[in-house]
Amino acid sequence: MKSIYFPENQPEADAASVGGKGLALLNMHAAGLPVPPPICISTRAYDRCVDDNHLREKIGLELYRKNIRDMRWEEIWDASLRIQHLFLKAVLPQQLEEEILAAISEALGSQPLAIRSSAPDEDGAGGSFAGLHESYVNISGEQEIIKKIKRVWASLWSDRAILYRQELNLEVLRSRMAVVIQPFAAGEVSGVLFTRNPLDNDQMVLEAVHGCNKGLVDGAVAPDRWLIARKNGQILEHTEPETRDHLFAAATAGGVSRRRLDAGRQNSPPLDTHLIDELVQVGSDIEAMYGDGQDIEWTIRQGNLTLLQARPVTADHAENSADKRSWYLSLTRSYDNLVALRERLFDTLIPQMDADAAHLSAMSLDELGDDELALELERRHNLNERWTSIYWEDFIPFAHGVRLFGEIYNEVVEPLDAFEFVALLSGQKMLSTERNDLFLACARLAATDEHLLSNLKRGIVEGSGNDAFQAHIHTLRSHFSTNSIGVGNADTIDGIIAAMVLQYTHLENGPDRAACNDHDMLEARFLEKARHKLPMDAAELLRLARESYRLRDDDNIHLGRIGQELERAAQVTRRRLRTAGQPAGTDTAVADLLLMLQGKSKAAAPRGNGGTATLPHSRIRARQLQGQPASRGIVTGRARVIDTPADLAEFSRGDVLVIDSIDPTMTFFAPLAAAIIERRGGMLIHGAIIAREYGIPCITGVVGATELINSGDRITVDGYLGICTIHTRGSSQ
Amino acid sequence: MNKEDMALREQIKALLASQPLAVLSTQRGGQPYSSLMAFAFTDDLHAIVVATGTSTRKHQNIVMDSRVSLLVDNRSNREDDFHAAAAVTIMGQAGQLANSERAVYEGLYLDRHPYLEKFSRSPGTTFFKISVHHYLLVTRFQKVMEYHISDEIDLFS
Repeated sequence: MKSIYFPENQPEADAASVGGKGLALLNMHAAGLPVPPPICISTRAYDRCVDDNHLREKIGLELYRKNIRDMRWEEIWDASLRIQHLFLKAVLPQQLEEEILAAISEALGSQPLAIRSSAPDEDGAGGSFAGLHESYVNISGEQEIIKKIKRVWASLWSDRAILYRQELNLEVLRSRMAVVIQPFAAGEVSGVLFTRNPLDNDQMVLEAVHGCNKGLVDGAVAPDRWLIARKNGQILEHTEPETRDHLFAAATAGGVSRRRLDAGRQNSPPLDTHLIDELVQVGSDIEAMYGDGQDIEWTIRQGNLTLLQARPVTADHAENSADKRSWYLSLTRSYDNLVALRERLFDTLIPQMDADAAHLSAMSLDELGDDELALELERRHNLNERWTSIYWEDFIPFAHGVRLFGEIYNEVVEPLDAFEFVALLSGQKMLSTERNDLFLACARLAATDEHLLSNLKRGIVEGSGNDAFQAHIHTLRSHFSTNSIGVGNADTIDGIIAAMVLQYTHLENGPDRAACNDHDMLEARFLEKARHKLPMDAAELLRLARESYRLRDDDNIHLGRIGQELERAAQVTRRRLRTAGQPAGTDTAVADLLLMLQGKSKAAAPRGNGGTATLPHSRIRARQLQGQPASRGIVTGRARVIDTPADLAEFSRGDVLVIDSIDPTMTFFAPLAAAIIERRGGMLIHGAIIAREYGIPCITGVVGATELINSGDRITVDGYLGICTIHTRGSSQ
Repeated sequence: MNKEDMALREQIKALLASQPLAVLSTQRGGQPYSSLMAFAFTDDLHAIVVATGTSTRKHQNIVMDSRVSLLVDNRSNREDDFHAAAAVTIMGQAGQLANSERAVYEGLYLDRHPYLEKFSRSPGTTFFKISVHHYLLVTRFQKVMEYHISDEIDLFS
């Protein structure tokens, strides 16, 4: 196999060497269709670079750290970022780089280029990888060309592409990528033609926009759309977009950018009937050549039609609900989308949520009659459901701001560490760290108040007579959702708060926030390097990323305020039912509580714990477990496994916290912990965020952590490599 | 036996079954000594069988200190071993076969290594049964799980 295929090498090319897109373009060019001459950088070139940089095994180690089926999407994103970073830092073998640059210079001169991904047909299902890999247009300069070729290769390892290959049960390490390089055709009008409408075989579908087709393909610019009869080329329907106010056009710094469309063209469709006829004719010719319905991207410059690519219409995919590509494609959110989402979150949703919580907390529930209490409980239940649903729909997607920033940061700064950007986002004022400062303030008061100290030792936090202390406790409860850690029992919560305050008294200098000394340097370097390179304002992007990072932790505390108000009503209800002789336990569902309160149901027996299931004696012991290194440092200490929030009361300063997953309402133990091990995986989950804030080692994504590690085990946590070593067994508790 | 125990046990058995050779480590005076050995194992994983000439260093070492360790792995000596290869370290105690045990264990050994018949029948060859204390299975580069045969506490850890 050659490393580079010129148009004249078309007879020797196949999809395994130049990928599906590359092969189609070589064939169309050879057939005399209006296609800019393609040069294909083959999968052999990809292999040469991968082998020379030893990337294959680095990818293997990243993806096989644990069973890929045990990886959450977040973990795959993390692995993907690291793998893509390996490509960005890779150096092409010198000979290969010279061959590529000479080929381009010889065949295409120095004109701006389009550099496109062309994946070999791994699954035999035609163009099913369409849209999963990257392409770049309007690229000039040797350095930039090489960089974009590496980025196209790297896009083989995007989270979406890895997930999709995994879905198809493909052996991911066998994946390869070819690249097509052509002169960039900057058209005044561009679009897509489906020679067969996937929904109606007798029609063609034509979509067109002013400018380049990036806006159309990304969905950022709404197209004009025509349905055309296949038998006679007659236009059956023309649907105009609501507005034609924007277009994408070549940017002077390379790439394309979004601009306002001049008023003159806003009122005119991008195509006239003459151009539509021409497109229909060319589309029919290409379909005749391949024998299948074709999905054709095209552009028109000064009246001349240029074809950008053609691939079979994958009707199966359009109709097959099992195909999850659209979901994978939706995993990314555009910058514009995130900016709009931020506005909605900060200007509307969070103030509304906080106002709802404040309103609920101001109500006295004890005075309500049974019917009123039932209504109130139901209202709170519905409100909690509503906000939880909004949380999933709007708050969670906003977290993508961090990811978008990470990808952009790595591209412009090219740091050694793929997660350097996280340092630029941490160290902010967050609700969880503010709350921990309050715990410390309580501890300081307790240290000088014997009566208070003695109360705390008995698990009592109310009625100490120390006004400043009680004010702090009130704030902890009302503002920081300290009552919503899911134990469902006021005494247990008080016990945990008392235990934590006592533990905080051992922190002589207060929680040690990990100061990132080079924070300013990192920020200045990013802003300097990003200047003129980004389609958005770099400082604004950084601000968005910081808000996204902070809200990721804060949002649970906001939502927790609603949750704890629901719990407060549930507690009053349970108390009232028990007084009336009805057995309402902490695990009785709200719906059952309502029925019981309204006397409509025979009391449901509380489910109870049912005792702990005793496992048969196991001969297995974990010696060393792997996860993801989420916060640096190496520490050896005693493990404390937290199975339920109530176990937190047992947590002592210097313990290594081992937990399934941490909620931000629970992270008050973080300043006390020597390290954190979490079963749930990710670099940006709450345990990892808080661990970095306090500069303690953290490993996430440790499969079976809470089963394989016992409280009392002596363990070493290596936050550099993501390894936990269990030295000696403690007493199982 | 619970599901996890069963799965780990089967993983270890599959690895042992896939490899004819193990590296045996003995020691004398604190100096470790490693030797490549044909081996066989019992279905319950309680014992490993090896054979050696009585005049060899390893034989003398075992006579003086019966604590041994074995390593069995499925590396292919390519880069992808780092994520794909598995290795098991076996900790145990070697002892000569009792007369009553000879037929069973020698049979086990010869079933796996029929070409070593002449060697195994030689008067200068001794069979050792290694009673396994525990196995340490290393997969995915750095994941290490122990499977304990003996109930003694951490004798060799």
